[in-house]
Amino acid sequence: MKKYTMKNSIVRLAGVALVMGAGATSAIAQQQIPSKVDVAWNRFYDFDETEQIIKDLVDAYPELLTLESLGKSEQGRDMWMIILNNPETGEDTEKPAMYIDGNVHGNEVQATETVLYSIWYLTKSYGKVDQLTELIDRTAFYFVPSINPDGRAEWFANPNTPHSARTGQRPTDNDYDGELDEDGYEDLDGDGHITQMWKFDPNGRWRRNKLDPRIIERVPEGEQGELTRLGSEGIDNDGDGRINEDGLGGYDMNRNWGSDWQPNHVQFGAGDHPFDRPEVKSVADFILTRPNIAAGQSYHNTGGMILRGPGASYLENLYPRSDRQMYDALGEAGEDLLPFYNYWVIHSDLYTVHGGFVNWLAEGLGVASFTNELWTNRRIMPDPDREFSDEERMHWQDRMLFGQTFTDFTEYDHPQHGKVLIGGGTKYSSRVTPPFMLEEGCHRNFAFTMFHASSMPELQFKWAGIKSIGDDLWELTVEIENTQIIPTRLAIASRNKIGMPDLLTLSGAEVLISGQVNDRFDQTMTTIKNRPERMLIEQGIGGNSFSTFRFLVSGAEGKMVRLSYEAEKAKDIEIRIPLREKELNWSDD
Amino acid sequence: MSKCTILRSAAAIALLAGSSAFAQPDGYMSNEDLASRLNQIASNEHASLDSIGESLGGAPLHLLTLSSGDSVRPALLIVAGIDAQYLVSTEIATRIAEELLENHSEMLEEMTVYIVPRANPDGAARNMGKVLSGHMGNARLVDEDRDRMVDEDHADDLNGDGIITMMRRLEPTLDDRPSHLADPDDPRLNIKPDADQGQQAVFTIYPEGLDNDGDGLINEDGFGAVDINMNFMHRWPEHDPHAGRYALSEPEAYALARFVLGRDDIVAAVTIGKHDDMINQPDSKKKDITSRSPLEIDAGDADLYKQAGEWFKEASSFASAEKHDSAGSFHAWMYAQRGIPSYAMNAWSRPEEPKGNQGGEAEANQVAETNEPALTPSPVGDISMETLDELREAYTQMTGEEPDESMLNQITPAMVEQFAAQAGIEVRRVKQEDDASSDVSKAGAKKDAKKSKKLSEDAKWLKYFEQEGINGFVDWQPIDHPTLGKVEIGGFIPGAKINPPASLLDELAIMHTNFVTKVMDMQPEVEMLGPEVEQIAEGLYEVRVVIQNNGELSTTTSFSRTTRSVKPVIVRLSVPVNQIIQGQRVDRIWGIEGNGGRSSHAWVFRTDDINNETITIDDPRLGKQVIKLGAN
Repeated sequence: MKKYTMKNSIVRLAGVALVMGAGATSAIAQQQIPSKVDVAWNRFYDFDETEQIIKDLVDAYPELLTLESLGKSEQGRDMWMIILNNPETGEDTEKPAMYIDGNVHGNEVQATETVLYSIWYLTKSYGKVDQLTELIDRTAFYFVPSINPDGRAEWFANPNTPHSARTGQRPTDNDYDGELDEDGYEDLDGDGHITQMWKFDPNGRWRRNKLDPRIIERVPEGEQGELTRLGSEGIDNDGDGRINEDGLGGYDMNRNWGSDWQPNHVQFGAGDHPFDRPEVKSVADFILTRPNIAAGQSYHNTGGMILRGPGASYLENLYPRSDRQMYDALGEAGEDLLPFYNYWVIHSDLYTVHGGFVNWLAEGLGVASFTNELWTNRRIMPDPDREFSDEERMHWQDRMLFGQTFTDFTEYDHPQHGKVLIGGGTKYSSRVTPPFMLEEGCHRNFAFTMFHASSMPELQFKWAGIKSIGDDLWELTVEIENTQIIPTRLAIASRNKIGMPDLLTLSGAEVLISGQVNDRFDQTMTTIKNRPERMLIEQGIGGNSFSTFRFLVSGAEGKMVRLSYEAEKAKDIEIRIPLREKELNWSDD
Repeated sequence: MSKCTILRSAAAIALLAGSSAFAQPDGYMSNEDLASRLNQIASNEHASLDSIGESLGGAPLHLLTLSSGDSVRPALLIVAGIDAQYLVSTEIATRIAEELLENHSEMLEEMTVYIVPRANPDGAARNMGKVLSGHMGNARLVDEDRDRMVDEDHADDLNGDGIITMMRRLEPTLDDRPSHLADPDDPRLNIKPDADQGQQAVFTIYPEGLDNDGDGLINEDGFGAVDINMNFMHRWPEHDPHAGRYALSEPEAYALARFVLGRDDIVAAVTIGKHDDMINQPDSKKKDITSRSPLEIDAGDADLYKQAGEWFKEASSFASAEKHDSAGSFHAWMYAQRGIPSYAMNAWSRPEEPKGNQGGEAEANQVAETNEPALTPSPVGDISMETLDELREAYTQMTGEEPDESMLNQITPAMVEQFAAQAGIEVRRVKQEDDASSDVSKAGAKKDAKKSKKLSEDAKWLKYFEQEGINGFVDWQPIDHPTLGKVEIGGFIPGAKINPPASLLDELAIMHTNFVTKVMDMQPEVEMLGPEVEQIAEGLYEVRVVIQNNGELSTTTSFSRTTRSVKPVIVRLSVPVNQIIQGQRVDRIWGIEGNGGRSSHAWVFRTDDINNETITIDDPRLGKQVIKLGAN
């Protein structure tokens, strides 16, 4: 296996060298590797711009990338999915694959840049960076840069808060008055952002900070206030006496997936049934055609977290111990690569999520999955280990970002509230990575995700021994090894009968009995009498470990037999060996 | 024995008749028959025929709409034929339509009736083929034994009678421990050995078939299939091979759900099939795993279901119905997530033997048993084994792990109570008998039991078949099986306990129609009282309106006020919000209790001209009403 990969990358290297007109094939320093597509990673791209980047990359690297539209969003935008695969080393469906997406919440924009960066970095590195070349040759990737194109388009095109446009854009009656999306935000002060409104009120419990009037602070007990909080910028469009109570959309596409889906009264924003949003359905339909997906990542913002399931406390024990150990090994590596990120469990460290995407991947499909919450503002502060006061934060904002993400308070004559103050943090103020730090964030998350991808199962025959035990009767023992962290079948999968068991087949001679043994020296085994030539291995092969199997075979000496091991989440392997007293050793040491 | 012979010859005659439709219960409608009968029905001026979608196999999912007039009105939904084997439900639903049109057409002025008579046509067709196997799902191919081969080990009609029954392996090998013996009282029946009576198991039991794929199992991966009634969202049993890959993965379930979600007029649903919550009052105490939805129904709706249960018992005179787990079923979803009163019932129930036939003692035994099932003692105090089993199940569901049996010796009743409280399980205790008398009374009970041994369910079925001349059982006949050796093939005909003789269908349909008309009759009657308009000062008014429900039932289920899935009635005042001094400009009514329950609305507002002001009451089920506030 390994030799094949190496040889292949050398061939590829030669090809690339010709194209580039350069002779060097040795490793090149990171920043020196050019891409055929120049993309600046210190800025964000709206949906149309991301479409252009995707098309440019696919045009530039047709030998690795395939573009597919999985369907249309609510408003008719394409659900772009990019397959990264080297067909010279096999079809994508034959290899373990990692699925990577982002931006299911329309406002969590840098998730898409992180996905695009990954494609950009992988393609330009192929044939130049050995580790990544080997990874690409061994695996496949499915990238969906934005699962919520409408939310993304809305967030960039129109005034928004840091939190709005999280939803998809299907008109929804959030206030049960029979009308859809009839009372959303307005950018009353025309600054391009939806900020906060404050009403002058001598009985208000808030006031402007004396040293920095941009800061609105709570009034201590017994002191006079001046302001009452009104909420986000907007008016009462439908005349029902309430402001902004039924804006665009109003649901959560990360609660619309198939595992532990719960109705709206249990889980806000869940939709009417799992997969009832076209964006979610199109992605789910694709994923269901790819049982080879062995790892998953869904980028979100914010807070600096590497999250795994379960999303609800009652599912805690659904994750068997061996799976938790695997997640820990991956998650802890992530904490190293991503300073100030925490490896956490969704329900216990964050909040309860029913019907979440990574939950469906992990619990419904048995895929080792994480969701990374991109960006933590601890990354920008001078001392990330301590909490800062509002004044210090504003000061730092001024010095570092020149006050860019704040609009000063201005007075406005509001139709319902009279004179109000409008101002505060812009939509870029809290959840989005500062552009000058975006590339670093993309790269660190990419590095973690590539570690995750390289941990997908990889099988090899480790050792085989054949003993004669009688007239044309042979005992064939074989060790099959998984050299990576992720098992071919997660314990959650084997326990809940998710997906197909692995299959070990011996053909070319008659198999009388077969079974799994503890090790090659083990004399007894639990035999499989029926169809012994076809062993179904429900547990698969664990991470960084091997399993031993034995066949009693009847056949003439020298007869070739074929052994094959098939796993949904690993590349199948096979060998041909003659029936003859012999030991074969393939392990590296 | 003579009756056996009669049965056998009946089977032989049927076999000789050689009709390719042998397996189709006589007088039941195929999909084609159904289509033409529905077309016939649709020729009535108050009926129309549509479809809500297509099955996986491409068959139409018929929708019959009964309605006279075209104004907005509430609707009742009747769904049948979800459970493939329950052909009788389709027969009944179709006849209900005919009955309503013929004898109750005036009710269609008040209420629309939607009928989906066969929600699973592919499954129905499988139960009418050349070989009757008792198929429960749709046409989805499922690798049930997960051996990477799909549907490779189906049932085989070894004795060529067109029916898949059972096999008794008479000489099991040592690795196949005998489990049953022939009932000494009626050797046609299989019973488990009763050690107290010195019985020993003699044979093992298999379904009729071969080990087609050589994996040592028989019929473990036959045709399909996903059970449509396990493919809905409430307590969807994820990872059960018959539940589908995700909720609504099956086109039949999807079509039904989309139909319901697209209609704001449905106020009640009747599902005829495998499930019953009319004879069996649904549980109103337990919660589902989230603890935020009821397991079956909310306590606030217990009376509603009790009431409906009485109507049904009165209409049907059914004595009993088997209770099945409703996880993932259509009717459970309709209630628990759509908030709609959703009544599930069997189409038919075997009549109980008339009283007096069995002798008083046996009857008394039976009554005692149905009222209070006997509980089995366990090693944990007075906690019953039944409760421990429930807890064990709950534990497995919560943790995904089977509890360690050795734990049983360590747990105390207090621990059980604590866990039961967490899991929402009622602790059922075995009544402690006094030590001295218990042996005596047990022995006495045993003697009684011997004296007047009551018939087992299966024995009752055989008796019933014989009385009614129904061909419901295939007598055992020996055959040499390629892997099991000497076997006997025979047993109950699949579906015979479910689908009654066609001669009973008309009568059953009238019973069900009586229930349906009762449900239609008992719909809430909503009335508006007022408006009262009072001028407080020049240009200042107080206005009051009451919406009152004079019917007996609440306008919605109690739980729908939690789910908020039934669209509210919207009450809207024309006066601009800045002129309203008291009251909401837009008000929502989530439900009004029955028996004179009220939703009261009052406003104080300023207006230049009261004659221009209106209140609009918009009920998705009853239409929109605009009330002028000015003096006429």
